[in-house]
Amino acid sequence: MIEVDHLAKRYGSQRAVDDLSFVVRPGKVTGFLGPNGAGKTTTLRAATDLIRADKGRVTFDGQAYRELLQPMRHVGVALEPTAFHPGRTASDHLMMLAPYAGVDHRRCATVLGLVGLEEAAGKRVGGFSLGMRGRLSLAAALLGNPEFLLLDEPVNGLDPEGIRWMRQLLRELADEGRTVLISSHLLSEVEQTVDEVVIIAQGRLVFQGSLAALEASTAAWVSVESSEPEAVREVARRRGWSLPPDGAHHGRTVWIGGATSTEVAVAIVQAGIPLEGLSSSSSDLESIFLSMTAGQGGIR
Amino acid sequence: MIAALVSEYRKFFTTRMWWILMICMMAYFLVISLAMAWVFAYAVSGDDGAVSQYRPMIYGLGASMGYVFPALVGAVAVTGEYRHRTIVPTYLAEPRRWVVMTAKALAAIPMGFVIAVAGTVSCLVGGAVGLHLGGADPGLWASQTWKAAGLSILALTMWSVIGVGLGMLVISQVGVIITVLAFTQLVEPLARVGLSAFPSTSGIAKFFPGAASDAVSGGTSIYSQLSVNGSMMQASSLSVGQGVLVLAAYGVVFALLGYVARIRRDVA
Repeated sequence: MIEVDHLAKRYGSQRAVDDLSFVVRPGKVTGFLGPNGAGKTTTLRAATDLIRADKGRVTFDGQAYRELLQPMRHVGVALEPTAFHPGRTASDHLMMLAPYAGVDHRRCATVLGLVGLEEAAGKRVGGFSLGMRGRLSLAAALLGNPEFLLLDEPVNGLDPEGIRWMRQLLRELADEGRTVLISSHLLSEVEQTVDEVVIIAQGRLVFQGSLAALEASTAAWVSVESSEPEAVREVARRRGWSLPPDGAHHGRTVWIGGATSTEVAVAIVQAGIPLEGLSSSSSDLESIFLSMTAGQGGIR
Repeated sequence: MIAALVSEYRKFFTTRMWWILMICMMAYFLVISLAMAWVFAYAVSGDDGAVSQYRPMIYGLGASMGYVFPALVGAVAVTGEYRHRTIVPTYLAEPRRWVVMTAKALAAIPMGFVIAVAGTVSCLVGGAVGLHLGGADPGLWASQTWKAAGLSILALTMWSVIGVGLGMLVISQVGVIITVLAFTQLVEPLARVGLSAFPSTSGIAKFFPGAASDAVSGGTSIYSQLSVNGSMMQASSLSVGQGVLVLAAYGVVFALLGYVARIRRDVA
């Protein structure tokens, strides 16, 4: 199990990750979702000690990354598909990491086969497409046969066939009991791959749960337009309805969860708040996701 | 630590930079030692005493004039990791950064040794051919020749370690190349000639890395000859042992500064 515990990181005055807590369970593929700049990559970098968190910690079965003796044997990480020396071949790249994972050239060949790069093993990475680089990143992550996998935008650059292949592979890895966390800025991209989702916006947790729960919990998100958005939020709070995190304010529109559009309309009118527009979001997961994470492009 | 060392060794030998620089270095050493040996042999024709006195200088030319090459090889081995961002998988594989950095510094020794041997062999070949063409005895089997060659290998190896330290400190590939070229090819030669012209400052010049390198490779370099003839002053020079210590100190200081600069820095 991966536990993110009150993680915080700021860059100057900007809170990239703001008191973020969630858990990732084994045997499942968990989608780590949020718009660009939501703090996904910062979280993954802080989890793996590339950057130093200001507060909080991330543990893998109770151990921080830096406490792991041979981290590649426990946590497989694929962060950026550009971290290759263009002059090295695919197998040279893996061989340079192999001593850290405690494996030899046979394991390198095995993982290259696993990601479909056996033909390109002796080719220089400089000539690789984005999709091939992504596959090589994944091969490096799998090198030490780790029980945890952290993959940043793993389907980026893959063609539809590649995405289907990736989906199957991640499924198999999770079925073997591994803990798989994949980030994406598009829910639709990973919707068919993930069992669970962790959604963040502006560095804060917005939602954690299964896809089904996401659909159910947000089926009734209602967007309210009013010249007094704070009063609308106050009404929602009094009635115990849910609101997106503080960060996700955007002008006159307020998103309210856990109520039907009629209930919301009645409550707002009763409170004497000017109501200028009201609509319920569709059950389309992607627009739910958008409305939760900022409302950009959501239903008007 | 062994894993880190093996990894560093593989990183080094799986890129082309090292042998491109090595071939450039060998060509350069071959040409300058051949040219200087030939001119020298021609100039002192028949004076066997002068030949045997200055032969070590010719065979040590690489260490006194060409140390920029091993320094660059060492520096680029580090900055290339940042340029191509392979530092990310490296730190992911070994989050204890001191292990990675120590391995880089240690791994530079055998790699630097390979380059140092190649460079010194170039000087021996170039120098011997040049002396022979000029009608002087190459003296390849003389003990002083072997001593000069051994010390040249030592000095050039140390330069690659200094390069690694410098690379850790500067990080920027372009930055480190410009720094190394500007310092070794312009600032230091001018400063050494300038400072050694005055008795009050000649004591400083001998602690320059290039001067220490000269001291290691025989203490009879172009610069010491220049200052002797130019100012009629006995230029002070370090002993071989002191030169080794000064070069090692530069390597350690740069590596420590680089270590302090990198150990806690976010890799964004």
